[in-house]
Amino acid sequence: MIYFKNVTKSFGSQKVLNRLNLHIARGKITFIVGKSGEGKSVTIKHMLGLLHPDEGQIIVDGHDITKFNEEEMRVQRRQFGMLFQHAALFDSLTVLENVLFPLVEQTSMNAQLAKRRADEVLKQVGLAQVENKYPEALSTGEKKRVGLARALAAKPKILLYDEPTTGMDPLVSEMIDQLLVKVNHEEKDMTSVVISHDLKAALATADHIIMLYKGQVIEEGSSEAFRKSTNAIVRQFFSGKVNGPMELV
Amino acid sequence: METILRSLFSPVENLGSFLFYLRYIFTHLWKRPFRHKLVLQQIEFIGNQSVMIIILTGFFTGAVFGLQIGGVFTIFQAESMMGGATGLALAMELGPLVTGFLLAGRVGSAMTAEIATMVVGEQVDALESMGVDPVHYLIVPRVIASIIVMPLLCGIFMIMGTYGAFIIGVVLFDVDQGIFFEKLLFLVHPPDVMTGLRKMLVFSVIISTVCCRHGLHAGGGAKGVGDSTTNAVVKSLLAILAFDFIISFIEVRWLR
Repeated sequence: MIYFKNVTKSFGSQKVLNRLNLHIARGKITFIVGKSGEGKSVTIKHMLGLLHPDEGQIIVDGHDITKFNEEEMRVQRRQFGMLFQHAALFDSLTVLENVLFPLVEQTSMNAQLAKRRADEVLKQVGLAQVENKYPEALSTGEKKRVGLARALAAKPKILLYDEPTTGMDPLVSEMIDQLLVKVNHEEKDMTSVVISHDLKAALATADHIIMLYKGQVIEEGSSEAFRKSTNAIVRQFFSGKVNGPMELV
Repeated sequence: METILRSLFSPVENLGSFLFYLRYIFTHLWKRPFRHKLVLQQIEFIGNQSVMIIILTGFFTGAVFGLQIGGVFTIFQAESMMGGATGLALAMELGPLVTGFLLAGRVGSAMTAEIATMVVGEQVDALESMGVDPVHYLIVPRVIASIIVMPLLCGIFMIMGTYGAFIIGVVLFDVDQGIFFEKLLFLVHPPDVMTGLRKMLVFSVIISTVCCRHGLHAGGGAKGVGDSTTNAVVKSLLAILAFDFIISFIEVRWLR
């Protein structure tokens, strides 16, 4: 579904992605984990074409998107839905208008069908009753769920989650994780890519986990394989200890 | 050495990228989808919400100008020329300049702050992730609305300024009402008003494009929003003054 082939990206003198190779499988929940500053967000911004690699290829659904111009990339992005770290809802629009937004922009659906689809996804995330509220009136958890509804509305093939549970209390985190699994199960063939440093959530919900370290994949596999990993850096990340082989700065 | 060269070429680089940005906006003015609703919202924001301040400022500017000029004209017993002199100053210079300054402060700063807040809150990234061009969605409607509404506001400013001068002339300097308007029409011709409106058209493009660009390139956090807004207003005001001089120079040297 998505392949990164020798992708390198630097910001000034700092090399964030260093000949990165990874594969995201279709229809699965893939977690990309790693400590802050390891290039997780940079990786998903490359998938969306919001950043361009210095070197390497990014293949999405058989197309090398690094060769796309901006107009082609805009069309390509319509395959994606994205849940942002802070939901990124449009604060001048109501919840319903936020969810309708991708339907109006990306599809030729008439108003009635679009409204029906918006109601459907709001119900899916358990927020059918807040459609006339503005984002400022919602709690952090509700904003995330509306963000998820907006990302789901246009039935994307690939759903990207940027730190979906960061800064949330344990109950809301658990609810978002459950929603992630539910959505992936309900939306047929949808691929979910989750950027997170929440290892507990990754082990509980991921079909496949990829760990980044120094701009490269240091370990990948199923939750079970990660639990049994003997890699010292993976073990340190699991344990959350400061002392170990991992460079923290 | 690299730092010196960079500081020397940086303004040229900025100007170049601004010209590309302007070209991008103007080639996208007619590009589908036409966002009528957003244009109307901006027309309401720029026009309806600014009209009162334009009326008041126009009236008082004309009144003060009339008061000052009336005092001088009295020395030469030429109070009757007050209407013409005030009308000419308002049409060619004061109208577009003061309206431009007011709108840069009120509308331009709001445009920058709103777009910058969207950048900081990842809302612009969200637009891009949905395949929506942020320039087409956020900036083009603001530029169209500015081009439509700002010259109209300038026209209102000119009318209110003339009215302010008329009140002062009639009440304080005993200028005959008929003479006031006779001299006004004698000195101020439609091409003079068009000069002012043309200037305002240029200023509307300056205010909307400069302020929106600063919003779109805002740095992180509240400080980033504040810095972008301050820079946008300062640069808009300087650009308005520079272009006012350039347009006046062209008009005086070649078009009269």
